[in-house]
Amino acid sequence: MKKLLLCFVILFMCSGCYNYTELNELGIVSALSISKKDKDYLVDMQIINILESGENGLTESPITVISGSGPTLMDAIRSMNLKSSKIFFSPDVEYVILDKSVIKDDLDDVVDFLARDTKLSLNFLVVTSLENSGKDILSSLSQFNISSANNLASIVSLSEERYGASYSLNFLEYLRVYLEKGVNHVYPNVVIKNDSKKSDNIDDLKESDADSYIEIDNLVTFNNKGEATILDKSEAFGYNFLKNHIKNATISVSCGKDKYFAIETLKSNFAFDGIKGNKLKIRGEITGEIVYYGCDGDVDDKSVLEEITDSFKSEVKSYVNDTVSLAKDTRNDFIGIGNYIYKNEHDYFDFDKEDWDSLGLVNLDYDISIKAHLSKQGNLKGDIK
Amino acid sequence: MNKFKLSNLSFSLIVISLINSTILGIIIPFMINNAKTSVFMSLVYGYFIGIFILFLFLKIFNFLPSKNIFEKISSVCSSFVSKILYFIIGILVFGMAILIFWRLTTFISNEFLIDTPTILIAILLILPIIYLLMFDFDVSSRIASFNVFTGFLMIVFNVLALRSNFNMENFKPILNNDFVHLSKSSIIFALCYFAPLFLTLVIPKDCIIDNKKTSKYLFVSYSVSFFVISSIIFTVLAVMGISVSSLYTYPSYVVLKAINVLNFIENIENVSIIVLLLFMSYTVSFCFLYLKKLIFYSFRTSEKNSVIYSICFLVIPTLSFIMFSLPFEGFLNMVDMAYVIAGIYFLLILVSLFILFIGKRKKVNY
Repeated sequence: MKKLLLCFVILFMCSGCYNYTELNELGIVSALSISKKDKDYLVDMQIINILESGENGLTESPITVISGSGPTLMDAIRSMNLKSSKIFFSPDVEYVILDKSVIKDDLDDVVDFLARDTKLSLNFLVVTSLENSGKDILSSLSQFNISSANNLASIVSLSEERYGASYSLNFLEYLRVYLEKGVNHVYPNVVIKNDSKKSDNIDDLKESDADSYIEIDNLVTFNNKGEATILDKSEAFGYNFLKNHIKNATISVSCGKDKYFAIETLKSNFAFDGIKGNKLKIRGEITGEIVYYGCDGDVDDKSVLEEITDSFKSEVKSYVNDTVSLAKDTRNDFIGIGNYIYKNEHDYFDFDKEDWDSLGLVNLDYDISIKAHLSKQGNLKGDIK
Repeated sequence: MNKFKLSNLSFSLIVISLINSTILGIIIPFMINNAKTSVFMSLVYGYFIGIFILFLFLKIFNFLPSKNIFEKISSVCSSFVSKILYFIIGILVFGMAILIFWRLTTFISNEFLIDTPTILIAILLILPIIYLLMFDFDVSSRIASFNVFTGFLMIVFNVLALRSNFNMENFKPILNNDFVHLSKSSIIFALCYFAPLFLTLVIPKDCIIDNKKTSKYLFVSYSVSFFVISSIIFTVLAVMGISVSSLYTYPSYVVLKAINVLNFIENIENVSIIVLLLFMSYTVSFCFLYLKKLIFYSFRTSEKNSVIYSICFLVIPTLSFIMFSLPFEGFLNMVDMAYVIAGIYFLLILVSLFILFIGKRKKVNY
């Protein structure tokens, strides 16, 4: 009887390819764009085409972008089946572009949809674009990577780690910021440089100099009223220093007329260090390496080195100062000072009854203290001149 | 009927497999929603309540060591009372099995096999359980060994893979909930997590080789399991934070979606969660074995017939429950499963204590 039952069990386990789906029947979604027009959601979807490359490389586009609209996001996505024979497969989504039209009014619906979907991972990036439509960005091809979605996701994370002026906001972090008190979102702002109409041209990939390409144009944040604030390069640096996102940023510091030296940060660690009276203490420590020196004076000289260190420290301090001032001026706590106070200095402000951005943040003073060290000078000993 | 022999290690592995069965979608969401970031304090309180439960268990386990729970009942109670107690225990254990099986089936149908009919998933899951009914607890202990070793390897991998996503700020504000919520969370945790130990009363103490060391082994396995659940909760909170983890029905599964090792090992949540599914299906199979014994003692039937009765009386109602509960899944999800399971285990502990109490009063010989 045992053997008979075992055979019966195995029979069920060997259902094999019943109801299977071939790979070419799947529409592998690599990126999404969500916007709103009047009362309808517009969803654009970038789908990877499974194709063979020709003798001289690609002859047809590696991606297809299709769109749909509907009163709900699910309706908009399912309406795409009216024009596509593919079954959409979403676990490989690399990024989602949220248009300012949804960030302003309908974020609840969008976050609910993205968090509720059982197939999506939590690692995809969230970006926005103030200048271009989501569809144009999704349609853009890249010279660097056959998967344009992968290319954009890599640009965002690399520019955060190695340049310092961007921020790779993944959905898990996005959801956390959305739910927590005293902090607002900061989005990487994606733009298409030059002619956006040409960015989807496959022939452009054959040229060494593309007419049109995708770029991260600093960061952007929205306050409670949906007003956008763009963080320029120094403010984006300041934000990333404060959030400890930077690994290897390059800081160029002026040392006279048209003269500069450049430091690459090797390690940086910033933290809020309590409130005394009405003053928030911001502490930071940075270690860097001289990667370019075009100033007068010998780097081997201890006093010159101290001067460079001081200038470097002041430069970083000015970035942080600019960022905190911007947050206060625009009444938009994108840095998360309020979140720090909510978690660590709970008695300082009543987050349940009062609006932090307009009543708490603006009345807060701050004190920035930074320690800087230059640990390396590159290959050269002293100055080349 | 008690022809098998178990080592202390095998018995401990059965205990570990049983007590980890309610982690997914039952204990963790309940504790996170109730205790918030004070969940670790709640865990520590729960640990001490668990030690008390362990102490009660050992008292009953050591009473009439050559007999299992059903033989203990028939030794201390009259035939009529025994039948009533068998019935109560049967209902409680069967209820437990159905609840865990329902959670397991709905989890798989909601997260993995969305297009597959739930009843088909239930049939697939119940087939190996039926097969296991043919055997005794010695075979069950081998499955428990596989579960525990696979499980611990996977849990260690998951925690290490998510280590880079840890953010200690997610644990703040510390102590953000009142004592009532905290103690509620601790009691429910202790009952749901440690009380499954009482299911092992179906194994007589004398079936364990070198059983003088059993209590020591139990304490170690209890502490190891506590460390495991603490590390799972720590990982969930450190990665997702309290606000995000409170959103989900299965935070311990959703957190695995954040795994991204070296930019190429990702989307492995469905593999990583298998560990908890193994523990759940093991507990269902153990409950069914328990009920097979109960049928054997209740109907005084042969071992072969008890298997056939088990298939008829257990498998068919379980599948029927899964089939007929489908339209009410949303409603059932709203019921806090942790309360129901804690209630069942609490009653199971009371019944076991009642047997001990009667036995001591009647001075039944050890």
